[in-house]
Amino acid sequence: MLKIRLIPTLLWKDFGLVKGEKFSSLRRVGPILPTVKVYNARDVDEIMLCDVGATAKNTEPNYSLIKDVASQCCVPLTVSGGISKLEHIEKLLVAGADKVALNTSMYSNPFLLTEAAERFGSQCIMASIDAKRNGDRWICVSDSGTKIQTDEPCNWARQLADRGAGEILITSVDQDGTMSGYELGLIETVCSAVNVPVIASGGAAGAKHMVEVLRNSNVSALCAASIFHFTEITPLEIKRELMEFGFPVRIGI
Amino acid sequence: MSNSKDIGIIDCGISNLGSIVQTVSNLGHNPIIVSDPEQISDKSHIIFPGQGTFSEGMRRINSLGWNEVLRSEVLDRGKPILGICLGMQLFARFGNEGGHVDGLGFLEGEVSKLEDGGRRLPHIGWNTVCQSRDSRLFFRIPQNVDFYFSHSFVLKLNEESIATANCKYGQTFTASLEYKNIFGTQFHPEKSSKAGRQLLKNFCEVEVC
Repeated sequence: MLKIRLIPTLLWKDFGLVKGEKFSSLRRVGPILPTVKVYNARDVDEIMLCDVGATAKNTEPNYSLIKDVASQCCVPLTVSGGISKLEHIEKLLVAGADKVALNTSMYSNPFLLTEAAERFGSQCIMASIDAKRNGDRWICVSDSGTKIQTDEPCNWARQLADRGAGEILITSVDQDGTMSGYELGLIETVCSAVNVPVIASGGAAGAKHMVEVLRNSNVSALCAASIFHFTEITPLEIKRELMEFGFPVRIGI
Repeated sequence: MSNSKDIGIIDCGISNLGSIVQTVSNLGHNPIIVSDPEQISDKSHIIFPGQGTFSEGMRRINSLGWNEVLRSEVLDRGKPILGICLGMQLFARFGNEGGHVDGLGFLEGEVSKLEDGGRRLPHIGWNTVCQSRDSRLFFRIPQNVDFYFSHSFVLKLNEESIATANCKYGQTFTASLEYKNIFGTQFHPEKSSKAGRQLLKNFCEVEVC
């Protein structure tokens, strides 16, 4: 049976890992390589690594960083941040990324996603959507949450899946770092809009929130960051709890 | 290490090779990325990883001159080869991804879209691999362990006894195979943590005839 994936998200800025709330007030949470080693030892299902400063500074992805991380990682590694050209993707894959996630560049360059999916295969290209509440609905935002776009997450997700995205990562800016639960309505609406796997992100503080989102929508994977940075809860403890609630998870051998 | 082997990893621009190189090297062997088909003959084992579409994969295999070289190394010389994901699928007689395309034809069978029964595609994530018969690849790997998959197409073998394990996502499909010196996995051992490492170890230790 296909398992629900539990994916720690690592946010990289300048020289180390950071974590904030609602995409701002970033604080330092430690060095990257020891963290990756720990996740690897704990046998997480996948690792997500986002360079949160790359787009704003208009710099290319940090390939040597990815190479170092990949060398420590024996589960799939997804990299995002600052990816705006096919050439960046190619270099990231050579450096050891297994998948890349596109976000801001998809608004300015409508062809990048399709070209990337044709060249590298859909399974390797994730489309990442950041969304904010807008009255009783949601609106897409780009550039690390600083720029409001005109698209609605559900329509945008459908377009991105049609253009070749292999997975959709949906992050709620409002819930990010608050540890008060996933944005259930947003995640459900995106899940029903597409037929590719959807990954929920933003707001988890423990297995309780994950059970909520799993009961409410058909998500394939769950991202979490603050839990692992700021609490003693381990990925394995979360998985054991999810298993008790009847959800299929992978317990490593 | 005395029993360290030269493992040739085929690079025809359709795969991420980093994790395979890393794992093979951690196992104490000598991984060598080979992009020139002429350079494969002195390697003891061949790993053939692949991602992307069947048609694009075959286009590259043919245009880069791999077709004849692999035929001679694998079919004539009997060198062990492990196809991973698309790499395994390309062993088939033909594929149906991007039109009807001839494959390498090492095995009788075809590659078609996974009949997912309404589930989400691609099939991405960790899924149970059920071993259907003994295989050198699964030495010391327990039954029903999870491996990492990432694909939308599957290989349907004419001779099902060639399959050594299967997996279920909507339909039941071939997760791994062994036929003489030809091995294949639909999943990615290089991304499958400890069990994947053991599988690659097992492959590197397959005796060369």
